Amino acid sequence: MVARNQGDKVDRDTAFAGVFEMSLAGRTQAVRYALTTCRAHLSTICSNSEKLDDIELVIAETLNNIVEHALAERQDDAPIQISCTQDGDLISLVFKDSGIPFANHTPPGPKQVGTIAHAKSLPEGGFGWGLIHHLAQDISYVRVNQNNVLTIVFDGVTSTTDNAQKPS
Amino acid sequence: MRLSAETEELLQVVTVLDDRIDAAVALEFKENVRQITETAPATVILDLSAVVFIDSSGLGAIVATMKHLAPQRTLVLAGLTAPVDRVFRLTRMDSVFSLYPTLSHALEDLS
Repeated sequence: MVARNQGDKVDRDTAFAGVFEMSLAGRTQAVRYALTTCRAHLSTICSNSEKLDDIELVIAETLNNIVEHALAERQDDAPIQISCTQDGDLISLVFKDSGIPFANHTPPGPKQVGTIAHAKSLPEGGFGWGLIHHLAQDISYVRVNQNNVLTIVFDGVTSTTDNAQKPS
Repeated sequence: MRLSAETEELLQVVTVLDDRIDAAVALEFKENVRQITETAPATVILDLSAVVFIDSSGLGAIVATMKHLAPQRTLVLAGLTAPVDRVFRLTRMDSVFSLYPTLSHALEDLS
């Protein structure tokens, strides 16, 4: 079954149903292949291509962040595990890796991404967490037994129109 | 990262032939565009119509390219597919680039 956060009281038999689980090597080349696989799995439950684009982008930013930060010093192709579960209109994606934790055990915030002032400063990086915060409904993180466990939730996954945007 | 370029007197069209500009190719993209635009005229149109996925690294590489070409040369973007267009709008980078829905729109406007 699916990796769950410690202390999670949800009854896994009646709540989230497994959509897919996969594991990839923590390298940027592997990320690209993993995204294709994730999208293929997600397209079985989501027919809204814009929503699929959004989820694929968030998975990409999350995996790139793990590869470039959590696992940056690792030489052993440490794996990243992804599990995806569904509960009606919601999906939950859990990313697990054995890399270094976030500073202060807190994922980065959205910064100023999405503001005109930020755009005008012509940044060449730092967009990733802004996009994740903007597109996901919820982000939570725990450090468990030397592992990072990051859970990202999306809503509106099974609706056919894109009416599930969170207010910005 | 495959690119093709066509140069006229006042503008150059650089076409991205691959369908993804992501973290795996962002550096290579930046380097290849830099080379192909070395002798470019005042306007460079980047044709992105084949690109169906861009992540924040790819976006950063395009911003870096624009900064590299400036101030003598301007980078404009054409043929943004829906998912690419969305990334530019979500990050408000649509406010710093001239975006054209198709290459012919860009050529019509800039020629």
